[in-house]
Amino acid sequence: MKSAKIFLTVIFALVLLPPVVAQKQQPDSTTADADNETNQSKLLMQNPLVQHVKNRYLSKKESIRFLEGYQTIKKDQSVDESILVNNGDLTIVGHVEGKAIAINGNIHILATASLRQDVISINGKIYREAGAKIRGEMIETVIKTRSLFTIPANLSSAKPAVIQKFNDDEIYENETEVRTRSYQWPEKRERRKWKRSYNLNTKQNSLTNDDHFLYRYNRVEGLFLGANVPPADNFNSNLVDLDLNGYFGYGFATKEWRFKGNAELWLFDKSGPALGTTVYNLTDSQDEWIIPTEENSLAAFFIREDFQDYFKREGFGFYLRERITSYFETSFGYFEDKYASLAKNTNWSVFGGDKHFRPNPEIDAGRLKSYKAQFTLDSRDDRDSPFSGWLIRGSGMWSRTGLTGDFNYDRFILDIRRYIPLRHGENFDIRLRAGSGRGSMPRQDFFYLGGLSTLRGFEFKDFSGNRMVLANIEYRVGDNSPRFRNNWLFNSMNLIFFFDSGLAWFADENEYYNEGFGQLTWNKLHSNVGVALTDDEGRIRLNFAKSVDPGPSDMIVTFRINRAF
Amino acid sequence: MKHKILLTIVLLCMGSALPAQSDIVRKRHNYEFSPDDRLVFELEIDAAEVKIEPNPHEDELSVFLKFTDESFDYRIDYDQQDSRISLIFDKERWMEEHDGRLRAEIEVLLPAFVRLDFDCRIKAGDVDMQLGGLSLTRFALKTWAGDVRISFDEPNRISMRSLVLNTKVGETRLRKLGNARFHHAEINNGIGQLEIDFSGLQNDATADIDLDIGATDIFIPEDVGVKLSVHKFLFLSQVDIPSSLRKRGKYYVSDNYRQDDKSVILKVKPGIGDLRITYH
Repeated sequence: MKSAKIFLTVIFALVLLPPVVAQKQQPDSTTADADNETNQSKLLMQNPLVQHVKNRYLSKKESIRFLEGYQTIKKDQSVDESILVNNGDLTIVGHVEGKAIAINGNIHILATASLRQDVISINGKIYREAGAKIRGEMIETVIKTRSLFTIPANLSSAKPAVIQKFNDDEIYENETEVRTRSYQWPEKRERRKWKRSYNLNTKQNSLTNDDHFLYRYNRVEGLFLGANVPPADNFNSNLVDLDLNGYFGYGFATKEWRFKGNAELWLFDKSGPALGTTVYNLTDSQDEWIIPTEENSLAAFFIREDFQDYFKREGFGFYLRERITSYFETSFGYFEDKYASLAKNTNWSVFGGDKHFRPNPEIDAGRLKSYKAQFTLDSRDDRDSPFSGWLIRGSGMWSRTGLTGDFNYDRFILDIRRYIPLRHGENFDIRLRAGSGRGSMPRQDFFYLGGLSTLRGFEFKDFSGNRMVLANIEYRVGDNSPRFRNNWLFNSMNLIFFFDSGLAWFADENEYYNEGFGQLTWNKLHSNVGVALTDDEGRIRLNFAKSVDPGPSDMIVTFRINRAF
Repeated sequence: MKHKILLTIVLLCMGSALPAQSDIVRKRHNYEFSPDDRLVFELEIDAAEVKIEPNPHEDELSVFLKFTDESFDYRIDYDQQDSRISLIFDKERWMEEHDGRLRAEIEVLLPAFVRLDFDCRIKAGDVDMQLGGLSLTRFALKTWAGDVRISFDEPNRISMRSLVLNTKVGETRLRKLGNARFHHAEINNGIGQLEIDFSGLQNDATADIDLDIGATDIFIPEDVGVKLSVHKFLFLSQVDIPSSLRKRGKYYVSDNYRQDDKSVILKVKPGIGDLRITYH
């Protein structure tokens, strides 16, 4: 019996003891794992980046689970504390009660995930599926390698640095780069729709403006009112990059409607060329370059002076245009036009007494089929009142009998302008313009010189031809110039000294555009000098100009609210 | 039972009549810098309420965006090599009706210790900026529509090379602009009231102020020397200049101009509207 008891005891001991030992060992193992995790946490905490993130985004009392490498919170898993993953992505499918942080890793939040607090990715991205519930913020943080955290001495105090005393001239001299004219708004980035330009067809748009309401006044149409649909910068079709724009309006003196409609399809997104078609019935003019329509309308409305000549042009066309860079744009197209004369229909103006508007000249009516091309290089700092930069614009038109129209001629214009700031308050501006052609040019396409914006010491449109050269030089100086700051003359006004020289003549119709310049000699050039009183921008000005050609001449006085060029 | 069925039908009808709720996205981007870093920060915003102020974490730039997911999109780029951050916040589908459900708020917290070149363009939305105590080297703001409030409650930590403000439509209020420590300021307001307070000026400075339509109020503390020129627009500008500024040639000059260590040269174009200058 005793041996049996001993046997049973031994058996009992053999059977039961190992589990007991195991039970004793098991807590030891758990402790080891916990120790490992604690050690890992301690190691992680020694990492300065982890320490920095903890201080920045976690509170001291917050319970945190530190993990290393790629981690996933599974769908049925719920973490009741904050989780910080170092050097790896964190994927969350389940629930996290605290904050979820990944250092040097992305965070993927799947649709089934729910997080009660912030999600923070340090030097990574956060990707969230629709449906995922996040009560806190999604924070993406970029932390550069921080070599030092000390503050430079010159920034450590809000106390201003030593104040330097300097006089007016020095202020302007030293700070010229920050003057309005020179402040360069940075190029827009990744905004292709903002790069669209609608200035290319300036000729066709010359009698409109960019506003929705359209108005003008002249001796042919009288008051013209209309509605304009400008190119819509913000309209984007999801299917195609198609833009519809144009205008329509009514001339109360002609009692006729005018319209223009454009449809433009951007071929390769909005950074590429645009294919356009246009249909129109216009009261058109070749004189926009002499005087803008707005200024001409004011002159016609108030003082019964209309400096543009008009004709009717109706037809359609197809064109391709592209803005190659922000400075350079080009276009090419085919157009079919029908030209007709328009008569003067009104003589009304607010002032003007017994004056009469000039008759609107007859044109050569007929059908014209032509190819037209144009390029513009524009680096000016301002469209209306430039102080610096280039404007180079060339345009050409080809009309051959092969196109079965009523006309057979070519016409080319090259216009080069340079605006040179000499110093603050002083500018030197120059324009060279040349026109030429081939064949029997109709009257409406002749080149005219004389008067406003051309040869300012001569009568309006004194000279005409199928060839033209023109040079305008202006030196603008004002009281902003340090050189003339204390000069009594410039204290009261700004001045422009200008010189114009040019010639228009008729060459043989059979000569090509690069021929027929034999008549252009120094002696034949018409020239004038002048001075203008003006505002700071040189736009509002009173011009006094006098011919320097041989023979008697009158002083020509004109008032303008736009620059000549 | 009938009541329950009726109530259920009513609730279902009400539920279907409610507009679909858009997702509101809340996203924050933080960028930490060393204190001696330089940064170019560009904001291009189509439409949003914008609030900008210094970050309590003085070496961190923080951008917080809260917007209706379906109607807005944004892109934020950080070019570490050029040290340039650009945020483009787009309003999509402008033509659609939204019944006032749209929401777009942007909060930017700027780092005080980083030399900052800050360029901001906002098409529509109110702008509220508190820029005191920062290290701005340049600051340019262009807005198309919306009220603008800018305040420099504390001096800029460094001299600002240029300050360019161009607002098209809306009221513009600039408080304690002298604290910006600018050398030259260009302020252009299209349509709307313009208020400029030059308090805090500690150095010589020049400012060109141009308003097209609206009233202009300019406050200059009397300890600052003033040389003022006013370019009126024909007879449409009404100018009110204090008697303590004496007319010398085409300028109005204070007695302490050039005697003190801080003077401002102002060139004002009031456009169509009143110009009131307070100097005391």
